[in-house]
Amino acid sequence: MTFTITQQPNSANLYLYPNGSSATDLTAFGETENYECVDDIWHTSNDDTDYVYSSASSTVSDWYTLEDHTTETGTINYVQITSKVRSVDAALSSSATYKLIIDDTSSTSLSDSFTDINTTYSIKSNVWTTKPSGGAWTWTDIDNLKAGILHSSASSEGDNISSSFLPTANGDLNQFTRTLGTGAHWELVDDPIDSPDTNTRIWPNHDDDNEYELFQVANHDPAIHAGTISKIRVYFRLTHDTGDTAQLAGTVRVGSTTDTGTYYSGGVYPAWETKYEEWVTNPDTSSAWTWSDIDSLQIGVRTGNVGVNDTCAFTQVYLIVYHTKIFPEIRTTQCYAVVNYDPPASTVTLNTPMTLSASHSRKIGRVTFPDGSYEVDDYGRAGKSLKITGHETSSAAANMQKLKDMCHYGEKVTIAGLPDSNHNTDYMIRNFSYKQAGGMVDRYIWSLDLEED
Amino acid sequence: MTYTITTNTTSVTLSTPALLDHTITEKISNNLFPDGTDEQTDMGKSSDVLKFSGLITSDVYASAASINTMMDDKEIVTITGLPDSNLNTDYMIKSFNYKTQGGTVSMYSYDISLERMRDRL
Repeated sequence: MTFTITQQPNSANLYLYPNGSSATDLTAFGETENYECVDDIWHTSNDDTDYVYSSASSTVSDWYTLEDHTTETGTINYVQITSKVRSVDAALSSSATYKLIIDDTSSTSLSDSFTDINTTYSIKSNVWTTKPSGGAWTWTDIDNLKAGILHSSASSEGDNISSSFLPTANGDLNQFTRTLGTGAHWELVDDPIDSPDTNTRIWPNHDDDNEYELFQVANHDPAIHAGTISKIRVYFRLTHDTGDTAQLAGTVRVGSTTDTGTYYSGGVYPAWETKYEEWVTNPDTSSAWTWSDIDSLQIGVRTGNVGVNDTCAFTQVYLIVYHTKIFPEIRTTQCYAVVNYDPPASTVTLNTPMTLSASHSRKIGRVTFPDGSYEVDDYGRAGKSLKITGHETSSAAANMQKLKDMCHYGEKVTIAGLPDSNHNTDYMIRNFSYKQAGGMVDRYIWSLDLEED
Repeated sequence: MTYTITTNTTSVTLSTPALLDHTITEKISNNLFPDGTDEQTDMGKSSDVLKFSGLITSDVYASAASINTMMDDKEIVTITGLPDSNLNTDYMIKSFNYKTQGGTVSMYSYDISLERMRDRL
């Protein structure tokens, strides 16, 4: 005598990540291969740690090969390509394009262009219910799938577009005596704007009066930065822990002029404060800043009169240029495919249970009133469970695997063929356990704890 | 010997229980006053539960199904035929458990827990 347990799982998702670069126009950052920059698993992207990027106004694209499916079977409902993207320094204008692309070896298909890409990362996705060459998806198509991104930047214009430039080398003067951390002076203060590292810093000795720490910054990229420059700011992050005399001032060196602004003392250690000095015009020419000026200037700080017991350190310095036109960099940190499919119904046939026990309980409550009367009410089902145990002597391991899969999918199961037909109905699997009986032979004792659906 | 569980729509006759357990619980509060005296008050019955267990040996599947249906329908059941006639009154079924006996033989051992609906006059 046997009985059966059948389950029709709901649709499931298979995530496929890039495992190779098929064709690339974009530049990799943080990893050697482009596909390695975008292969983060769907729920844990590493954002600016590694990514692919371009600010080209021409159309550029990256194609990635994807992992193959393994044991999945069933009907494929759709394939979705998803990416995580942001622009840098300014939102993309409506003239820019950003599309997701897919290829099944016979044909290529593009999504519509996404228009809402700004400086914060966002998820973009597109669903293909049929394959690009037409017709229903097959698992062979999935194994041949390539996915990618295609985009073109376009100029964004505004009054106050800001572009940042970090130190890239020491400048003409690096005169402060004391440092914390290893490397050249510029390497101690070149932290990304949003993540200053106070474990590296530079500070003057008490006799370092009126001395400079100057740094070169990256040149502007004509493919990105354009328009009229309205002003520049030199930002520096500082602290003091002995004395509170203002000691450090933002400084810019351009042409034959080195100009210094207001002196600050910063926060009281371990607190840090970020200050800046602003120049609307080039102090060397008294004219508006040009991009050539930006490429040649140096930024930094200068000391005032450092007291014997004063300590005032800085940990970060960078330049912000305010201008009117930019071709924003488009930065993609994640790209993957989601295959949504309906797994086939699964049926396992087992020997009629050795034991069967049923338990039905309800929430019966008794309410007593002040006059001594009372009321008994039924507040609903507390549980209606069926526990069955049995043993299998043929195809036991395969049948146990099927039951494990049913537990994994979590959908209801339907039982048929039990002698007490009242139990032949739908259940949720609360617990399934099994153990081997008789040494290494294909023989298992199993136990199923079911809650009636 | 048998007893019967009856609702407005159906009834199930079972063998007289092999075991019977009746538990009455009262809400007794103990109030302690500042002068050190105390007072006990009976706030009423918190539960009046009858439990019994036995075997179902005839119409096994239908009998178990009928009791399950009574519970699903939230029905008040009337017990008649118990040797202690004081227990033959109205109840709501709190729980009903049963399991196979002797392998696949058509016999269930069961236990049932009932909350009493009415006090005996």
